[in-house]
Amino acid sequence: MTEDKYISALESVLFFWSDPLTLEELANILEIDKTSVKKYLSALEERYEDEKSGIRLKVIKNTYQLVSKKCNSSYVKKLVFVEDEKKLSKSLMETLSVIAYRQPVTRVEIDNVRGVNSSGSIQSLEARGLIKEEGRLDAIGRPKLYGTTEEFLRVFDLKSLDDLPRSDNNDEELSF
Amino acid sequence: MIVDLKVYNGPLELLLKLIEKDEIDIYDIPLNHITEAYIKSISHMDVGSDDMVDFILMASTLIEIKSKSMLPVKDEDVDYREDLVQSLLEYKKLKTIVDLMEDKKLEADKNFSRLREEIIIEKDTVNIDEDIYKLKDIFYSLIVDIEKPPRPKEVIAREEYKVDDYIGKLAVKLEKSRQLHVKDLAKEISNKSELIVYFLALLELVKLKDIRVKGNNEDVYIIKRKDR
Repeated sequence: MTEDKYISALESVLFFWSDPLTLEELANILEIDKTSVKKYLSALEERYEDEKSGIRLKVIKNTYQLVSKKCNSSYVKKLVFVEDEKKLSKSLMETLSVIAYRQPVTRVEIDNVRGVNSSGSIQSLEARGLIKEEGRLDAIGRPKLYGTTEEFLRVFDLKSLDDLPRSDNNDEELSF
Repeated sequence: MIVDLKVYNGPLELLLKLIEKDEIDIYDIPLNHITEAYIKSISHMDVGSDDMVDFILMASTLIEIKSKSMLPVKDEDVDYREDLVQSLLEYKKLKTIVDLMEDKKLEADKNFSRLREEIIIEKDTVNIDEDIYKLKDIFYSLIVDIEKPPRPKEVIAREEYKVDDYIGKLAVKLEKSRQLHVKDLAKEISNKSELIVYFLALLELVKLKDIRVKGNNEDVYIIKRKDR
């Protein structure tokens, strides 16, 4: 098969499945090695960057998914009902931010930064699959450590944790 | 349970607001003034007792710092406000981060992905989950396969199967593989009561529209529906 044929196959598979697919899954489906798949995916990604296209290849860690382009959201929105549940309250956003930037982190540490008890927020975030337990701290009481999930990256459209937004006047000593 | 405080998200936010309002230098907080303003604010606040605890704790911290600094014997170098200032600065930082994250999410929400649920495995499959009688048939076809366990020689405490546990079990399985063959599921089931609970879990998930059951007479698949 030629390069274009593989890219075309990738496009069909991603379009059809519509959920994120991993590099391994794609390699298995196309029966080629991961390096080639990665090459073809970048070609596809590049192709979509053209403003004539309304599709974007969303890359999260090593998963790939076809989504509509942001610039067309006002049109696509008319067809979908965005549930309120998708929204995150202020307290959830605060808790999630502390976890994202300081992971792995204990509840006490989150409480300290926020100045309020965060156990309720942690529970909700866990139920939504945005955070997960990442072992326990080797200290008295062996408190649970929390970190973010791949779903978190997906919801915030981050390729990886390095992609977290940084404030301009970042003070390293505060480790945010 | 999450209760978003109508006014302030917590004592640090309230304190920051008070400091900003009066254009106070964060490194030189006038304790008298701020404690008074703080206590005045929280006395008008209408929050549950659980959340109030945090606000009251801060009030007592303020008073503690104030009384400490009023003691006649004191080290000139010690500023009792230091910890508080650090907390405030850190919280301020968190607020900028939260703003950035909120913007990021707003942008991310503009990407729409399709809902994957209309996938048909084979041409002759039907949506079993739309027909209660077909679902019932699956149940009967599975129950005949289960052999009666040998009569136990002594009384063993009966194992309890909980529907909730099995909902969780199914969810975990579907998270790993995108579709499950009913017969593969049946292999793990050891007795009738377990099967019944498993089946109830399946029905519950169908009701919640978390899964689809598709197939024909031969093969029945359980498919996870996309999160909506």
